[in-house]
Amino acid sequence: MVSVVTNRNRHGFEPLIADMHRDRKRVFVDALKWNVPVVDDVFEIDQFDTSAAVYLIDADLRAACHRGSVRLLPTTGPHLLGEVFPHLCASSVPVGPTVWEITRLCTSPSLVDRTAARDVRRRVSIAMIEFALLYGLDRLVFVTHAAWVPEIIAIGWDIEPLGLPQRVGDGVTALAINVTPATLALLRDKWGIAEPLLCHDLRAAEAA
Amino acid sequence: MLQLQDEEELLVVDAFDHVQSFVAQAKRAATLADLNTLLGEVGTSLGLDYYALAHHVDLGRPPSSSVLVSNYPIGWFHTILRQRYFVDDPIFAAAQHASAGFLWEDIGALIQLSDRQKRIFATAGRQGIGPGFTVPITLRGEPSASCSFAVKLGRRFPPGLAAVAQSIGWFAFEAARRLAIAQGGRPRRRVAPLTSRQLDCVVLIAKGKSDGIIGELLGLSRHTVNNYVEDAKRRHGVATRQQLLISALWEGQVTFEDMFG
Repeated sequence: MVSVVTNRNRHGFEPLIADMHRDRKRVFVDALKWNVPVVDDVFEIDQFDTSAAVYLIDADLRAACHRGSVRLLPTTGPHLLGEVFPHLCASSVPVGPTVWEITRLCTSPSLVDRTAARDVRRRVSIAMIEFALLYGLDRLVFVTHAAWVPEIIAIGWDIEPLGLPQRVGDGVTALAINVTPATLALLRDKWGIAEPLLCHDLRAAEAA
Repeated sequence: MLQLQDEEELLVVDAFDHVQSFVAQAKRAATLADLNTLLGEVGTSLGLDYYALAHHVDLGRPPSSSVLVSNYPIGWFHTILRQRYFVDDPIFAAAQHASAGFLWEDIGALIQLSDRQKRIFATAGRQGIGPGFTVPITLRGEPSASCSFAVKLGRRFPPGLAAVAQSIGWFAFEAARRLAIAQGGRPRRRVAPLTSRQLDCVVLIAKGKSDGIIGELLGLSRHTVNNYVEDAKRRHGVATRQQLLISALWEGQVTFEDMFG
């Protein structure tokens, strides 16, 4: 299952959240060499890890072991595209109650192999679309590396560019996924995952 | 100066309108012929004379569902097929080393051109093909691919259009891929996937390690490593380890980065 972790239930997930920030540091700072803040040498935590952030975390809950996650931010408040990369949008940055931002999608470097990482990425992606549909969102916006764009587009969902790619390293660009129930059906069918993945239960968190 | 900056900015805003309109129409394209029309139209409005979207496969005997959409002069196609230029096409080769789009004039930063590759460029020039820009398309499980735009010989590649070509290239290729799969009928050549252990072995073979060393690195016996590799060869239907490496790269099961990164 992929747990929804918000400011309201995060007290039940503290060790898991720490593990997520630890993995984020290993992925984004150590491996990808992003210039993002590191706390206590081991946690990647930035200015958008606020009470407004919602995390979808695929985890072994008993071991509080992070397998993969994504951070979702409402665009009605501060978010990466609006604050750091507005120039990646050709016109104004799309904001509104039904538009949220995806950031920090990552899988744990501790996973045994690339197939496991791919499976976790798929689960988190499906959970993200389930979340969008549950919360009435119709658009997910994000900034990504140019090198990853073909793979992201090839998933087959309804996706569009928000502006031209620009050179930061090998290039970055802003994209938007238009979410409908058909998006969820497409991903479930493509990846052979029939059952809902999103776990939205506070009690489960407390038991863990 | 201020004036010029404003004009450049206007140009880019306008260019993105072309991208947006292309992306919206490419998504709805029902046939490869529709996509050809759209690419021709967007090329004309941006001053890009040629486009070529292709999986990097044997263009003489392309596997079904592979993409080949282009308006290059027919004479150039004949030359490519007759000379089998697709085998070591410099653009195809460079695209495999690039993570984002590149101007052909900068190709030296990606690969060192062989004499034959220099001849390929010269021959393309004689067919009227001038400077260009290529967007690499790397998808796991598929042959590598690219989307190129070029202008006629004697013209400059329009400055400032690299990002536009990059964006259109991404979405054009996906539209072509979707349509090629829909129209392909037979499925493409399918190779059984390798296990993660087998992939580890393939990567280590590429790095020049012996079975003994691979065994030590992976905590397996030399015998087990050999069995994994033999089974991987069977899955790919190849006879040698060298062919296995090539086939695994071709299928996108491993990447150059895995092997040499």
